[in-house]
Amino acid sequence: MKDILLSLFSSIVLLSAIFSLEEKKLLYSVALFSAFLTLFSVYYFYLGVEFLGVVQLLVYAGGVTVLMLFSLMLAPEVDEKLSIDRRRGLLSLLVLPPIMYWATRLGSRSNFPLLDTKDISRNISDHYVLVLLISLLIVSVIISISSILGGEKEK
Amino acid sequence: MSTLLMVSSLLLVIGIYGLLTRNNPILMIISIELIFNGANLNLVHFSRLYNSMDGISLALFSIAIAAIEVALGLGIFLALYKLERKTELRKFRRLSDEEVSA
Repeated sequence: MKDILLSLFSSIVLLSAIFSLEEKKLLYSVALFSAFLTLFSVYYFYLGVEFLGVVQLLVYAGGVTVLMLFSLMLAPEVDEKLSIDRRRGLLSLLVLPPIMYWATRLGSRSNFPLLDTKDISRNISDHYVLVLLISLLIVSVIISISSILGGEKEK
Repeated sequence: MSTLLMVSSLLLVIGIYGLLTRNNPILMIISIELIFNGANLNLVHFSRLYNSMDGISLALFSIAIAAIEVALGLGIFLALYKLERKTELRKFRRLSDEEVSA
């Protein structure tokens, strides 16, 4: 019963993802993408990672969707003539599914080492200090570049 | 459990399909986000499967980087739109040798 419900839910999530790309109107497309992101956070709750689910809701379903709606508002002509080049997509539909199926089968067979770490923050501070510092550095560089460019524009 | 793996691979395929077929910058960003979400689901799923916290930590970083990437991408798109009044990304060829064919 649980598997059937999960499959039904997954089909709804995948349909919302597909329709967010296939919809003709961009506003509906962004709305469907927002629905997809909200539904997708249920997977994190299902897997017992409530923190990531909440982050997904706040950052993706909240922040990213609002950014997209603002850019739609600021560039009104963006809604015109959505062209689709289906020949390019044929390659991905024919070649990628078997490769991904093989890759996931291979991944599920391998034995990853088990760790005893229980806390996300402890894990980050133990193993990913360098990644954290590099990401902070990148963010500070981006902010400084944007402020420098904004200052030059005002002059 | 294999349902989640299937969902993550299908999300990756849908994202690459959208990235190859669509010209619109917002739809391309949506495609990239679908790919990110598929990868995150894979990370969290394997993390839970092997009782490790590494995948969850990486998924957290991935969500933060994806949010920054969306903000930057939309900012660049709006700046280009202000300059050229065009919305199809494949028509922007200012840095290439070819002439602009608008």
